[in-house]
Amino acid sequence: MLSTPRVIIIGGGASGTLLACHLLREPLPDLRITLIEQRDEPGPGVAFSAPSSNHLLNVAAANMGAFADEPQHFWHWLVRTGRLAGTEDAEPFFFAPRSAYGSYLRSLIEPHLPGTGRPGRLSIVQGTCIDIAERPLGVEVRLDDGTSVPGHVAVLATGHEEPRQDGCHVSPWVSPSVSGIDPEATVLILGTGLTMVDYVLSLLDAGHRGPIVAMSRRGLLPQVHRRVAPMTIDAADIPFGTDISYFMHWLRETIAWAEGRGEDWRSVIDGLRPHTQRIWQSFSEGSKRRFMAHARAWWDVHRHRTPPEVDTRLRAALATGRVQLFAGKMVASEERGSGARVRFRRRGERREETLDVDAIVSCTGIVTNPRETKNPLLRSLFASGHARIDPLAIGLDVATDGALIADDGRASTRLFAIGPVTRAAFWEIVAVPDIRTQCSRLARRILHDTATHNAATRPL
Amino acid sequence: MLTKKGKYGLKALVHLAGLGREELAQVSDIAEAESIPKKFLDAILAELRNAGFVQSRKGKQGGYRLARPAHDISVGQVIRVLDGPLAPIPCASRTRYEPCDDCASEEHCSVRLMMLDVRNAIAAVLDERSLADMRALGTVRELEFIYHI
Ligand SMILES: Cc1cc2nc3c(=O)[nH]c(=O)nc-3n(C[C@H](O)[C@H](O)[C@H](O)COP(=O)(O)OP(=O)(O)OC[C@H]3O[C@@H](n4cnc5c(N)ncnc54)[C@H](O)[C@@H]3O)c2cc1C
Repeated sequence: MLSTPRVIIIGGGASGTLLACHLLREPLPDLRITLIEQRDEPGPGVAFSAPSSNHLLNVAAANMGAFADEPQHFWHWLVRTGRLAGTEDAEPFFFAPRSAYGSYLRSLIEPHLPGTGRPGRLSIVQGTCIDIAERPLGVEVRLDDGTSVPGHVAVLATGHEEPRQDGCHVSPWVSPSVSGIDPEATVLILGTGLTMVDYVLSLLDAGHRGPIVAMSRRGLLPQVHRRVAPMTIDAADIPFGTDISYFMHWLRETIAWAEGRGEDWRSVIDGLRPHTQRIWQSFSEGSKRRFMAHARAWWDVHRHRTPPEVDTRLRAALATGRVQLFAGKMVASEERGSGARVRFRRRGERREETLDVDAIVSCTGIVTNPRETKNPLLRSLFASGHARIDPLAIGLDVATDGALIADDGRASTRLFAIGPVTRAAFWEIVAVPDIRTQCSRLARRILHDTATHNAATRPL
Repeated sequence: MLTKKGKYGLKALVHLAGLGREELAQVSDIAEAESIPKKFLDAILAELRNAGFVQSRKGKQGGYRLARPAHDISVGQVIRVLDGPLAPIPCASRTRYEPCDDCASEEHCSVRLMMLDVRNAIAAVLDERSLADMRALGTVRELEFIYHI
């Protein structure tokens, strides 16, 4: 019998770790949290285990704190732990190495782990979660080794889909040398966003000499960060609920107006940040679809920008032809030896061209079709009807409080989700500043249920 | 402040909110029922269509209807489209505002700063109410009227 409130978090990447931190922040000695992670170590997840210090965060240190009410928490940690030695020009607005953020996440949970002389409120279970069964008074989370963990509430923080890694397909999140890419190899990168930029830097850092081709439909590169203050934009200014073409027209006009006053377009884009989730939720399903099809590429390059030092390196590599940029679409690829022959069409052309490559890296973005998920937990939840895919097929169908919506349309009181898997309800729920706000809300909700002796936390 | 355009637009949409599912209303009928000059109404409906709030069909059987359910369209959304940013006075918005002729600094004008707070209160009310709520308001009043006779 379980009498203490027990929360099970599945997935120990940034989202799961941040939720654990928010729950642990509360002075509730009874609360027990179990974090289930299949990797060796919880904390960094896919984003913050980058081994190279050349991989920088794309959000300034001053805004990467784990807690919404302490955005500078990470920056203060960097200062306190002496991690800035050797980085002469470091100040709150600099872009810290991503691996430092991984260490930061680990440092936040360590004090709560069981140790000598203390039981610890947080326990880590290493393993892959394959299913969740609902019991009358709680949940039972099953692992691939046949064991199971009982709890009152389970939260899915399963994050990004593992990229394809077979034949000549390599993961953008694995370093080129670990993937066995020959320095002379011809590498085709699909997608020209931030992930492509990262991968190009990884190749260059590894001394790659072979041709590097980056290709996306429009060949748009991410814009560069510039230090400008976000404009104050009130909800009263924003045309919520309009059709996407109307909305984008409004956005362009507002940018033109701001530029006419000598301001930077980034101020407008950043000024919208506090409102983006509400804007998304106000769109009709048709508008959301049209956003994905027509406006998203433009939005992404303006919204997800590169640090200036990274941009400089990328532009130099493009200028010297070290990296070639194609606007076009891959039509097909067939295996050829250890590589592939890729057929593609440049934008606006009918003629197909071919390119023989040794490796293909898919950097087309983190939005994948959940129907094709390889995650065993998601597959079994879809099969059992405890979860369902959202109408746009970009993630889990969840209510705005994160509750999973089951096949019958009902929102669960015991199963929740956080992080990028909830993008259908929020769209912008990828970067830490958005995830920490979501975690803070969900933590409060779970603790509230606990405090009010809701059925959710009666003894199991 | 609500302009005539905003007022007429809302009246027309509340009218459409009262139609049956597949029903369309002709501009001339809406104009007559709501006492709106027809030419003006044509222009207003075109803007609302552009913004995605109404759909139209051409021809004899043609007309207008709501593009989304009435409970999905908030009053605030409609007014922003017809009148621009919600603002009690022209300078009291953050984007695309017009400073007054006699204004030395809109950043320090206490009247403007006060009105910026007021607008947020206005937005909070208008965004909480949908066209369906607005229509219900009118119907309740009608009922009260009947009972009091
Ligand atoms: C390359 C990259 C760089 C980024 N850079 C930044 C940045 O600079 N600033 C910023 O704010 N944001 C950044 N982001 C965005 C952001 O912080 C991420 O979206 C973040 O990774 C989300 O974390 P997550 O925990 O939801 O997902 P993930 O990192 O994918 O973690 C999910 C974890 O769950 C585990 N898991 C999944 N399924 C199971 C299962 N069935 N059983 C057990 N364990 C499971 C996985 O092993 C994994 O560790 C970046 C993202 C990426 C991909």
